[in-house]
Amino acid sequence: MNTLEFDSLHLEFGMKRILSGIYMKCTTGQIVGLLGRNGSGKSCLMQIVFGTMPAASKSVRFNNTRLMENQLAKRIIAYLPQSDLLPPFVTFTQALKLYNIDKEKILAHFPELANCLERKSSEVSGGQRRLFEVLLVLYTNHPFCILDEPFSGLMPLHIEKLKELFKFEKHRKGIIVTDHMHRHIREIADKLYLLTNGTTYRVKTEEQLVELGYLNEL
Amino acid sequence: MQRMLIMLSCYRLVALPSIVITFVTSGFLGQSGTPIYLVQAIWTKAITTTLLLTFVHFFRSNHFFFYNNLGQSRRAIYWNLIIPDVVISAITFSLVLIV
Repeated sequence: MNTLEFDSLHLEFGMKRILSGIYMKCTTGQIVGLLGRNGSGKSCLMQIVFGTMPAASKSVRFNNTRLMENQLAKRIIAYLPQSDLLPPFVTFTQALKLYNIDKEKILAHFPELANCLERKSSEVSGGQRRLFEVLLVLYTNHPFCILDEPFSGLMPLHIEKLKELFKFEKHRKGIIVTDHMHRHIREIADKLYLLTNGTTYRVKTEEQLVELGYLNEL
Repeated sequence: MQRMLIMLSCYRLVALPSIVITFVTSGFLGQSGTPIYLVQAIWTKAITTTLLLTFVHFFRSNHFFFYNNLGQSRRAIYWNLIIPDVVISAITFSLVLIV
């Protein structure tokens, strides 16, 4: 079982403090949900943990070993950004080949993607592209994946299927997921955190989301 | 093989303008008919490649995540953009001078 843990994370833009007092932990077999208002720093936090955004200080640990500058080369974390993942000139088949993923794995759950495989990502609908990107990151061999707004632009049927897939795939990897569709996140998350005022709070009851100002009412 | 595929996929970020610049520069080099202009051709490529990388850095770096997941750091991605370009330019300039 693998563990991904991060804390002592500080990020400031000029005089404005964005992140401090962060602590999160995810292990294989867990879906960890991260909620937060727009501009609370969720995407920055995820990119810092992924290793593509510099921070004033950070401690990201994989199995109690601190990840340093070369963490990307170790392929421990796969990351789905909020924006498009696929460059517009890459076809789905090319992406699968580069990521070393068998297309049958994807078609088994989403056969409707079969007619998109030879198309470039710029030639398919936003929903189809997003669905494929989520699957691409989910099926990597990285022990952890971070998904930033995986449900945005997806139709409800696909969201439900993806939620089932997350629950199945968590047996071989840890999944950290954030999305504004908080009901879906609350439903699938084994552990829930709320990021507010630059700090993460462990959420154990739904009432806490109201107390911490994330929701007006349940 | 996988490493090569990643490099070529990265290079596609700048392939079209880069190859066009190489061919145009090679055209001028061929017209001059003398290796003296090779230095100018190399400087032209160096400056335009720097400008292209600057453009990618500011306007196309959102595509980097795709390659980050494949173990490529930002620095590795830039090398993936530069190395094929240098190889293509070297071959093209050599062919022009030989022919």
